[in-house]
Amino acid sequence: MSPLLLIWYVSLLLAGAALALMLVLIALRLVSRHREVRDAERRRQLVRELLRGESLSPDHLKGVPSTLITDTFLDLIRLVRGEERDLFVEQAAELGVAQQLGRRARSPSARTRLVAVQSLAQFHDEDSLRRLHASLEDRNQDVRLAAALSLAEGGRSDNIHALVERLGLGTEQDSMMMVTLFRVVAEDRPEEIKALVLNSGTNLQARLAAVEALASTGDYSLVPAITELALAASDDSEELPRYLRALGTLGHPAGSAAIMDGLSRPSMSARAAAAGAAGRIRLYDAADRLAELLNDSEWWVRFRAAEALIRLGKSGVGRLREAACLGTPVAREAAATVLAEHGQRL
Amino acid sequence: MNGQVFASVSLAAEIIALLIVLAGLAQVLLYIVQLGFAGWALHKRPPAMSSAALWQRYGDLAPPVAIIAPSYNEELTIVESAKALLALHYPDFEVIIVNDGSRDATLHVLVEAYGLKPIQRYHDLAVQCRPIRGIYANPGVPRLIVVDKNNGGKADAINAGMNVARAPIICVIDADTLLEPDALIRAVRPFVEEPIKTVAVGGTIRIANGCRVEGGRVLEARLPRNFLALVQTVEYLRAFLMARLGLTEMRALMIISGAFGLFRRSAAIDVGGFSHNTVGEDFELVVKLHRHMRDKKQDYRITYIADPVSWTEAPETLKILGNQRARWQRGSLETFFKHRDMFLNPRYGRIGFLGMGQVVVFDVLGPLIEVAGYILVPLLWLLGLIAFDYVLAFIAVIFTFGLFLSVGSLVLEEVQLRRLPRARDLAILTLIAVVENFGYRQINNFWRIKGYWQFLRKQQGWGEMTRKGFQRP
Repeated sequence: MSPLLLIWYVSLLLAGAALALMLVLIALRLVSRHREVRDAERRRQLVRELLRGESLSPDHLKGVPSTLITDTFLDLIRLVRGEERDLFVEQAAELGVAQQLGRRARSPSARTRLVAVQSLAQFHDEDSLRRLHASLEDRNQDVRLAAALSLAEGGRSDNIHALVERLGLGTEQDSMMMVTLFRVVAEDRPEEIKALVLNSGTNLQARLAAVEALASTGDYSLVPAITELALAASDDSEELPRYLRALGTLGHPAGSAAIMDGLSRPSMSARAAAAGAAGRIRLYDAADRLAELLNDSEWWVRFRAAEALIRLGKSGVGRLREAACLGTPVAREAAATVLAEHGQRL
Repeated sequence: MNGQVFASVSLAAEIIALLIVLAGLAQVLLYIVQLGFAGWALHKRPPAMSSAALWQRYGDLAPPVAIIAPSYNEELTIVESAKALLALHYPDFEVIIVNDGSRDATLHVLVEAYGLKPIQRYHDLAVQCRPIRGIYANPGVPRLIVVDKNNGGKADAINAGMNVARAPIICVIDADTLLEPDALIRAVRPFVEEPIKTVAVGGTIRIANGCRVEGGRVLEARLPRNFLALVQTVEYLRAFLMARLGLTEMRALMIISGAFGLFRRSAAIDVGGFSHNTVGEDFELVVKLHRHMRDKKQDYRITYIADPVSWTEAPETLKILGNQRARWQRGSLETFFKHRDMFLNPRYGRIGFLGMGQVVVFDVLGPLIEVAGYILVPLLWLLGLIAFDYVLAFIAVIFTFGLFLSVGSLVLEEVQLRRLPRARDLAILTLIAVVENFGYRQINNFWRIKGYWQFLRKQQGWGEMTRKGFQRP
C-alpha cells in the first residue's frame, strides 16, 4: 500500500472511530438522562427532609446511592454555619459520609482526591484525621496542600516547619493558599508562624506568606522584625514592597523607620507601598516627604502619596491644597484631582 | 520528446500535489497533538467547584479586578450589559465602560439609567489613547465607572480603560459579552495559585445565539437555530477546547480572546497596552507579552482555563461572518509579520518554534495551500498528471481528518465537561461537525484569502457588525 493510500485509510479509520464513539456517548447520555432525573428528584427530597431537621436513618435512605447522600450533605454543610452546620456534620458522620470521602481520597483521579480531602476538613474522627495525614504524602501537590489546610482547619496541623519542607511551600508551591494555611495555623499557634519569619533558613516565599498571614491577624509583636527585614531588603527586591504593605496592614507606629526609608527608595513599588503604609499608619512625620512625592515620576507613587495625605487629615489636606495651588503641574494635577475625588475644596 | 515533456510535467505535478498533501498532513498532525494535550489537561485539571466552594476558598485571596468593556454604538444593549456585569459574584471588582465616541446615545442611556454625574478621577496615562472627555459615576453605584472618550477603536478604548483602572488585574471583554456570574472567580484561579508567574488568563467563549437570555444572563443554554451559528458553535468548541487548551498545556498559548481575557495590568502596561495598528490586537498583545517576558528572562504563565464561561453573539449572515473571518485572518498576518523575528528564534524558545510555528502552519500558509489544493489536485488528476491516490490523500487531510478532529473535540467536551444539556444537542453538533467540511470550510478559506488580500493592500478598519440583540424568553 502506498503512503498516500495509508493516509486515506488511517483518516477513514480515525473518523469512523470518532463517529462511533460519539454515537455511543449519545446513547449513554439518553440512558443516563433517566437516572439523572431520578437522582435529582431524590436529592430534592433529601434536601427538603434535612432542612426540615428530620433525622434520617440508614434504613430510611436504603436504595439512595451513597455518592448522592455524600454530595448532598457536602453542599448543605458549605451553605450553612454554626449550630446548623454542626448538626449536618454529625448526621453526615452517622450516615457514613466521612468513610465515603476517605474512599474517594484514595481515588486514582487527583480531582476526586482533592475534593475529598477538602471536604474531610469537616470531620474530626480518627479515621478522617488518619486519612488526611496520609494525604500529606499524596503524589499531587495540590492534594497535599489541601490536606494540610484541612488539618489546620481542624486544629490538627503538623508542625509548620516540617510542613514547609514536606510540601515544598515557597519552593515547589507558590500558591496564595499558603497564606491561608499560615493564617489558619496562626490562629492557634502564632509562635510557629512567627518563627518562620524570624528563621533565616526559611525560604523567601514562605517567609513573605508568613508575614502576610500574621499582618492580617494584627499581631504587633512582629513589627520590629518586619521593620528590620524591610530596612535590610535591597531596592529592587520583590520582598521590600510586601514588607512595607504588611507594616501598613499592621498599622503600628513601630514600623515608621522602615516606611520613612521606603519613601526614599529608588524602587517605584517600594515608594508606592511605603506611601500607602504611611497613610494607613497616619504617619504625620511623613507628610513633607509625601508632599514631595506628589511630584514623583511614577503615577502610582503620586496617587498613593495623595491618598496618604488625605488619610493624614487636616495637615495632609493642607499640604495637598498647597500643592494644588503652588506645586509643579504634575503635583498640581495629582493634588487637585485627588482632593476633588474626596469631595475636598481647593 | 513529447514523452519526456509529459514525464517532466507529471513529475512537477506530483511534487506540487505531494507538497499540498504534506502541508495538510502537518496541520492535521499538529491538531492531533493539540487534541492529545487538551485531553491530558482536562483530565488533570482541578475540580470544578461550586460557586459557594470557590468563594470559600478564594474569597479572601482573590485580587481586585477591573472589568473593561469598550462600547461603540451600543445604546440598545448597554444598560442590560452593565446590569449583568454589576451583578457578578466576585469580592472586589469595578466595571469600567468606555464609550468610544459612539454616534448614538450610548453615553446618554447609561447616564440616565444609573443617575451618573461627571466626576474627577485621578488616572494614569501609562498607555496611549485618544483624549478622555469625561468620567462619570454615581456614589450609589460604586462599582460602575463610565469613561467617555474620542473615538479611536477597540484597542484605544481598552487602553483608556486600562489607564483609568486601579486594580492589579484587568478583565477585558466586549460590551455584548455575557459573563456567567461566577466567571471571574473561576478565571482568577491562576492568579491565586501562581501569583508571581501568571500574567494573562483566557476563559471559554460560547455562542449565545438561541439561548434563553434574561437580564444579561444566559438562563438556559440552547443550540442556535441558524446554520452558520451552529457551525460556529462547533468551531468555538474546537478552538477553545482543543487548540487553546492544548497549546496552554504545551505552554505555547498565543491568543487570549479580546471578548474575555484577564491580564496583569502592570504587564499589559509594560508592553504598551493594546496596539492601534492591527485588527488582531488581542493576539498581538499576547505575543508582545511572550516577547517581553522572554526578553527579561522571567518565568511566566499565559494560560487558558476551560471552566469560566462567557457568551457572545455570533454572526448569522454570510456577509458579516465573512467580514469577521477576513479581519481575523488579517489580524493574524499583521501580528505574525510584525513579530516575524521571533519565528524559529532560539531566544524565544518554544514560543519561537512551537507558538509562531503553528501560526505559520495554520494562518500564514494554511489557507493558501488549502485553496491551491482545491484547484490543483482535481485539475492535475483530470489532466492525468497525478494518480488518484493523491486525490484520496488530499480528501483525507481536508475532509476525513477534519471530521475526526471536530468530532474528537465533541467527544472531549462530552467526556470531560458535559456542558451540552441534551443528547439531541450532541447529535446535532455531530452532524454539523460532518457537514461543515463540505461547503462551509471552503467558503471560510475564501474569506481568509480575502483577509490575505486586505493585508497585502494594507486595508484598515473593522467592517460591519450588526447586533440583533439576544433572544428574549
